[in-house]
Amino acid sequence: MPPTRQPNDPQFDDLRRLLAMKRAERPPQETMDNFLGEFHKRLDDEQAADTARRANSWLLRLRERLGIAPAVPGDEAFPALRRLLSLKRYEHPSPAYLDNFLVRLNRRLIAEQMPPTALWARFRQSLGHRPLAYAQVAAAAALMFVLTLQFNNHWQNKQTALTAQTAPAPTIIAAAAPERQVQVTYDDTRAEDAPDGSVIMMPAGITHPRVHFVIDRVDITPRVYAASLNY
Amino acid sequence: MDLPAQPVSAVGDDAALVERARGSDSAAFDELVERYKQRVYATIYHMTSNHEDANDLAQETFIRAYKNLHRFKGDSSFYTWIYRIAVNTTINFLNSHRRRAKNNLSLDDVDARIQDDPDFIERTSGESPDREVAANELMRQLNLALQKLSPEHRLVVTLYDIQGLSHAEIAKITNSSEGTIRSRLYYARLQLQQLLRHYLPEKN
Repeated sequence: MPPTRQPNDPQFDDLRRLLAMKRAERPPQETMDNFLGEFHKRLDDEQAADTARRANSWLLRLRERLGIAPAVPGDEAFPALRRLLSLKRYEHPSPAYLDNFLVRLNRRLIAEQMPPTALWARFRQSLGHRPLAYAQVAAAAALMFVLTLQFNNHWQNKQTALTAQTAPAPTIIAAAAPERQVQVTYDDTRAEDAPDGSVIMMPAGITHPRVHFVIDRVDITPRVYAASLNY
Repeated sequence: MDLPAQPVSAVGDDAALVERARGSDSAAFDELVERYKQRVYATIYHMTSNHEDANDLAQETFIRAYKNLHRFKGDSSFYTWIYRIAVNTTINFLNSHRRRAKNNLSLDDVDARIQDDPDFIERTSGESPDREVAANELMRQLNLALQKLSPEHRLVVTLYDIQGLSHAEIAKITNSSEGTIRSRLYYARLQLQQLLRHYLPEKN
């Protein structure tokens, strides 16, 4: 690594002395004396021009609105300028250039009128007849496919783990979940008649008169089983 | 490139060609393009001072004309209509590429006949002894001066002083009054006179 040079490095002494001589360089005294005067003169000119421009613009707008042609000098005021500008007519492209104009225009018109080419066709066109290009595209596509599969597997595994971690307790129901029909199976040999005429279903082995259900499968987890059953 | 004034008979021919072009007769539209390509190109070129831009914009003009032929009602001549499209296309382009235009000059060829023009000889008598170099330099200076004008001022100078259209025709093309055209022309010339003073006699 080269050593870092410091600004006061003696190696630069000669250069610094040389550059210091520039300090002695001054503009001519006359220029400095006239600077402020020139500046004010130019400022006055600019301001006068701005004022005139604004006045002209205002006057022009007014005249235009009133439909009055402004009284401006015509062609007679600029004979030399007009002759000079007329020389621009000699500047033109070569005749051959304009001969091809129609051909180029028609090509462009046809291109604009053509229906947009299918994406696949444009893609093939861009590849041309280069086998190497096809091989590169195929390799890129295969790589993309493998990467997509990998990502998909990874994502699914992650989702499964997340679901297992965050599954709600059976007594909690998603607030916005709609009430759904659930399938209930029960051992009818244990059913008893209730006093109001309905049937009390009891799982086998339990003799307590509380209502119990043997739930085969529930799509959503109800907050309270009894409340969410709709039968 | 001398651009003769629009012959009266051409107006009638144009209407017939437009009618045929509307009926999908592409040869009729080609004929219209052939008729006006020089004028359209030249107008745009003098506005942009750039060869490639002029070519693109001239093509754009004719493409717009072709696509909008059904809207051409014949209230004005085809000649005025195509000029209007060219002018609007160019002014839009210039307004959206303000910075670029001034630094992007590319000269068209300068016709060798300029060297025999008395005005050219008079203006460049003190310039380079090589007439061709002097002609190119003169064109460059003219283009630079034109590019310093606003697009609207440049347009009237181009159409009136270079293309030779009348105030009335320019007023129709730009959809403004003749008074406005005269006034713009006056202020544009004042600026040009200042910018090109090197080429103009003192008393002017």
